[in-house]
Amino acid sequence: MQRNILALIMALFVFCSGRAASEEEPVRIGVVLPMSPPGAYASGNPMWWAVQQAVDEVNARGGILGREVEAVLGDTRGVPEEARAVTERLITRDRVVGVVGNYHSSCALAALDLFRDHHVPYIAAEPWADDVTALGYEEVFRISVTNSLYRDITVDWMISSGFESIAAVQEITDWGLGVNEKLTQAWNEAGIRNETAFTDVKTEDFTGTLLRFTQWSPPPDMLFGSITGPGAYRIIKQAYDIGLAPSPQTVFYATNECLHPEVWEVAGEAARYITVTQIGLPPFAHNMVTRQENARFEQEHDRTMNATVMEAYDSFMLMCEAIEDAGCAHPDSIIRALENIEWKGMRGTYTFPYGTDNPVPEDQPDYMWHQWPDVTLYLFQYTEVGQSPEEGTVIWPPEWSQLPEGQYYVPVPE
Amino acid sequence: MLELRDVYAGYYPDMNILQGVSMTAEEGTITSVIGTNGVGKSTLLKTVYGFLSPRKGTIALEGKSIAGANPYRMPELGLTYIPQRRNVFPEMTVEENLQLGGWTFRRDKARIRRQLEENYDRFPILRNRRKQRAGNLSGGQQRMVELGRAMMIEPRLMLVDEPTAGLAPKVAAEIYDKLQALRDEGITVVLVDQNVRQAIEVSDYVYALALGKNMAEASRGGFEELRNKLREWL
Amino acid sequence: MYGADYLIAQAANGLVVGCLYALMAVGLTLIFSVLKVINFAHGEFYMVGGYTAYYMVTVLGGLHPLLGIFFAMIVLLGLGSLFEVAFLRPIHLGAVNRPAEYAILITFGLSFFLQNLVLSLAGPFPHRSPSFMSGGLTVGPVTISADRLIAAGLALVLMIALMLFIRATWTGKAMRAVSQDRDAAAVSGINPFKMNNIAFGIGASLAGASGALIAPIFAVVPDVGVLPSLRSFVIVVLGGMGSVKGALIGGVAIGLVESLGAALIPDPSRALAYRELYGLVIFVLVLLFRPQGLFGEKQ
Ligand SMILES: Nc1ncnc2c1ncn2[C@@H]1O[C@H](COP(=O)(O)OP(=O)(O)O)[C@@H](O)[C@H]1O
Ligand SMILES: [Mg+2]
Repeated sequence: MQRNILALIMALFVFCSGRAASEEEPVRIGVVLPMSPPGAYASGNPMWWAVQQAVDEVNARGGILGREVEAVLGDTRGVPEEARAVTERLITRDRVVGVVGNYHSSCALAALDLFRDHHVPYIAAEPWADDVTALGYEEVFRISVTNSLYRDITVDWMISSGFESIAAVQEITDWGLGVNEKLTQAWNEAGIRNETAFTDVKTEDFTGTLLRFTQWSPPPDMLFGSITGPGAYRIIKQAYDIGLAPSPQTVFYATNECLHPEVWEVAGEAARYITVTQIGLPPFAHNMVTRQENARFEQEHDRTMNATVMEAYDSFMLMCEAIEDAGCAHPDSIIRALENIEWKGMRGTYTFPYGTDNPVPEDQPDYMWHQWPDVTLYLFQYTEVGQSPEEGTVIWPPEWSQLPEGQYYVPVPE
Repeated sequence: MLELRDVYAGYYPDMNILQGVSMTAEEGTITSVIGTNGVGKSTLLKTVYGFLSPRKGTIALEGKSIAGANPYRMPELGLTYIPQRRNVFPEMTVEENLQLGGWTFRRDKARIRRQLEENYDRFPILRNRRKQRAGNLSGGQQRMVELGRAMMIEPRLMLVDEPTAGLAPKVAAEIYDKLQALRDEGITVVLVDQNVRQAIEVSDYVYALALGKNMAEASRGGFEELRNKLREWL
Repeated sequence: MYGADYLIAQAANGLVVGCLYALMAVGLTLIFSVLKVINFAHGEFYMVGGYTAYYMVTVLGGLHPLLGIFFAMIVLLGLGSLFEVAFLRPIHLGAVNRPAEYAILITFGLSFFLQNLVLSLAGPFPHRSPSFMSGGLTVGPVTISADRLIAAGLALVLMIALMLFIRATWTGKAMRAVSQDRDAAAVSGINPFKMNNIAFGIGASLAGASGALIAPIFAVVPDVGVLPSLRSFVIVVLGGMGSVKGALIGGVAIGLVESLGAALIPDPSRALAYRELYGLVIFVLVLLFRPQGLFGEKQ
């Protein structure tokens, strides 16, 4: 720590001195998100609302470096080529001092070398692909979970629950294929019988696919509806309508798309008892920041922030904090500041222990580079129709579980 | 009945196919327009019927200008037209084809029925074929469907473009007979034809075009002279 | 390997979904047959139809869900007609230099515009209309929700009504006449511009009806029409460009192929991976061996 602080002071001295701060110019931070089709605009839009909330707050307390902060939005539309083009535009035309955001891993990966080549700090908000940080770029940080971490935690739950057979419906996207590769490998290692049906993410009717799984005897212990977008809700309703899951025999495990209240509008009672992941802290572990920001957001937008939305808020705030710490907007100073940061956001206290001065140790995976190590997730079940995620029953990990010891999910009553 | 004065028209800007054509068709006659391939005979009929707008000159029906009116307005004026290319509605039955000829008075069921009967009397072969798909008929029979469809509105003036092109001589002769019969019913016919000999034979008045301009004209008495002139010219 | 019950259940589902596919494709083929324009905004008419029904039923009117369909059809009829007059008529007036490219760009532009307009008006989250009727019907091994049965039934009714309309009414015949020979129709006094307008309006309205029919089943989002519109192109080519009967049978066929294909191919990861691809395989086969489609006319 001592050494780090010294390095920071050095860096400030070296890079910030002699640079005339243009007092009038706002500090521009790029925000890349899927705001319109074909991307995951249902996530991108609320993420952008959260960023605007952050901007308002920062400016209300005087901005950063005494200057106003401005978030410059780039709509990736979820298309990697567009993500690359829009990121390049933010860097070269809008001259942003840092970039935050992204929802789709494919979009983050397509633009990743731009951050390296233009030497612009980037905080990945939601991309899960290991490579985002595993590539070890000096400029790239991440506060979301990685595919591997996600697998480790959720497969532990599946093994503890005693699942012997798993049926999965998997969307064909970079994200879906990445998750599936990791999960099937883990399932096979654990000796869990599994079968994945791949499908287009925009599929309206999964019934044919699901009917196939009704032919299993005995029925699968778990059905994984690994679909994002509105398909996430449809598949629940369709699986329920044909009696497959959630049912007394089969647990339905859904994507975190189902954190949105629309799950009730589309899937209705079918969504009661589904299991969902939240990449954050359970409500009883929320801190003051979480509560305060969530309340503001809810007042404005009539819905609570889910973990993905919090990531957008936190990544933007984190960038602001780093610039403030750096004392100037020079990239080297910001990167140094991020490597040394300890900032409490909505999802916990952010640190990036593995970086320039402290390389990822041998016994740690490569993706730990500039990765927030304390990122966490928990699993919960909706137990009543119309519940908010916060009202659901936490079932995993055991230290947070609200179930009796030895029980890992709430079974559907016969 | 129909009078064109100094008409200019064409398909592309700055390129006139018709370069000052004038002609008159008297009521109750067959007036022919002859000329070699590509001189603009079909273009002339398309211009009269409104598929092209004249860029200069006048077109008048019984003294009233019809220049630039939309083709679909023509039946109301008592005008009808049989284009050069095949133009039955191939997927529909013969009867549906004929019925559609009466589109402008479709609400008058009795009149539609009456006109259908009249056309079946004119072209008895169509009566037997009335439930058949028009596209399946022979070339001559399709021409009859086109004639019948045109006759539905009881036109005063009929424009006919190369009605016998591609037909066997016997069938062609039958078509010319029908045209004369229509004239005898009191219908004014403007006939465009490459078949100079046949056209002159059935006509009351003949115009010869060359390169979008009037070249010669003659009434019945002067046909011999016209023939010689044409022979010389070719 | 699988029992008859299973196959019957799959076939029944394919049949029901196929009727919905067909209704949308029928609108597309009608537009193509009369205007000779491929409507790349067809999926967005479907989407707008879904949203119209949703808002009429939930927010504005509190109408019965079945009336929502009716409103969606009216709204799309108006929207389609207006768009035709404003943007497609110039093609048929000869006022456009490159009509084919123009038609693609203008309908594609409309599609993009509508997606983003609805995204900004209705927000990014999905909406589902209330059910037409709760519950379902179980016959032997087959259980189908009442919503799906009603939607498929109404789709069939609408398609049959359309076929009767174009077969037996004057306007219907005039539309067919324009589709078969535009100039000859004009010669007979049929206003081809008016027929374009009616055909486009009806086509859009049928797309709107399909959207309204699926709104309680699949829910609507701003890009809900993208996949259905691709599928409609496949169906229209399969059935024969411009053939209404072809689109009906083609739609049901694609529904069956998708579900039986998914049902019968042994390895599920492959069987289901590109369910939509079965349609594309058929698309390519048709283009190679019977380019005029099942019910199309040889040129
Ligand atoms: N639709 C058209 N577009 C452009 N040019 C045409 C068209 N139809 C005919 N032409 C041209 O106009 C000229 C006259 O054609 P046309 O009137 O059909 O001659 P005719 O009927 O006397 O054989 C020809 O040079 C022909 O190439
Ligand atoms: Mg000609």
